[in-house]
Amino acid sequence: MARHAQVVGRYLYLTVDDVEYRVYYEEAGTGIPVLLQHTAGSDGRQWRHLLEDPELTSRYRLIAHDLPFHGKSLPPVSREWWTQEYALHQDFFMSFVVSLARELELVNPVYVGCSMGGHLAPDLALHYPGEFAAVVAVEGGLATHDDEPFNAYLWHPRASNDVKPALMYTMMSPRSPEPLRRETAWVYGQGGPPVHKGDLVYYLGEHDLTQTAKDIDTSKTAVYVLGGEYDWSADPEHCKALADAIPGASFTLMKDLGHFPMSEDPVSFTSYLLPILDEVAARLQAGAGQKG
Amino acid sequence: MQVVNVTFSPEQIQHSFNDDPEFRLYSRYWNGTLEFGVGNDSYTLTMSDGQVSAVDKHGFGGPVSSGTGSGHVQIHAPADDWAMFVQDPAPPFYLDYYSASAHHDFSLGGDPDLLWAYYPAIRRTSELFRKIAQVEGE
Repeated sequence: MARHAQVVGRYLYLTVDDVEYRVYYEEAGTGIPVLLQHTAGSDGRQWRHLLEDPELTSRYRLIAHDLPFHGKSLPPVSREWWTQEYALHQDFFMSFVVSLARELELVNPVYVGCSMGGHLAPDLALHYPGEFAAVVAVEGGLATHDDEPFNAYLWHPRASNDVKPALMYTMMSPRSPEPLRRETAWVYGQGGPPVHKGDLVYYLGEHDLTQTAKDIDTSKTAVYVLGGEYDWSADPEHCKALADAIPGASFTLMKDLGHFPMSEDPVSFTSYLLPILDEVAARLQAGAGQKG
Repeated sequence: MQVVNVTFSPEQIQHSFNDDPEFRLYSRYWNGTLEFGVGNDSYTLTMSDGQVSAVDKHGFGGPVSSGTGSGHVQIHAPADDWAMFVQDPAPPFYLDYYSASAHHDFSLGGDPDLLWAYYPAIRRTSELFRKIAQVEGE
């Protein structure tokens, strides 16, 4: 008898800014919906271990999508995307995630995003208050305006698709299981050539809450920040600065984890994520009880 | 204050790099030189068609300017930083040359086309150095 994972993949037609996208997503579990956003240059496979964790799926509906141009979500057929350099912009990124949650008719969803997805968490809380019951910024910061010298080589005729995996490998903890670190890096060799660099337009450029983080209303969308000890990009200091700037937000240091905690060591990461989800679930339940 | 000294055997560098399957996979076709500055010492590796054909130990002559076409890649750090770097596991952010340059006193220079194109092989050397480092004065 074949052994199948309890994960189902589907395609959804989603229109954002008058462009239709065929969006791939995977889901598993039942309960409060949790939308999972991958990092720059990668795709939803980063969440596969969580989608197969009964401790999570017995109580939460986990949904991991691929952004357009990532994973199995192809570029749109209605515009000539090949005539301009790929770039991910903040307005599109926010609109896409909110549209996806609405189209899937998610009720009181929780958003969990890592790296550029972690940056997006507080952006969603600021610009779409109450759209999500809570957001979890994994490796998210106020701003990351670091002009890394290798950025040009993320899309360069003299650099192969081995370079991105090698650089991403350096961002993980030496204590995370090596096969999972290698798997996390492997996915970076499979992205569309300009996509990782283009995603950094948002991650390293447009995202900046330095002046506006204080305006986030955590009574409408709770904000949690998680930072991995070995993440040299969104390092723990940057992650804590984000939480400190948002009234009511919390920060937790993830010991012995790096920039990709959900895929480099999912067991350890779940030990940090699950208490947050349970706290949100308890709050939603209490709120429902008061209304009832 | 105790002085830390980190040294490597040139012969061990050559053998451990050439014998390592991962390094050899990612160093393929590489022709040029790769210099590791360790405090006041330098180890310059000559890369010939992807193999380490020679390792020359000499005094560190200072940082080289960055520019494409030189064929020379340089990584340098004070001995104290190398002592942290070769710990296994290394503490944050001494795990890799780039992270150690972003957060500590490592510096990366020379030919950027080779530095970044061959970063998969260069990254692997950090793990190989940890196996053969000799640290005195800790």
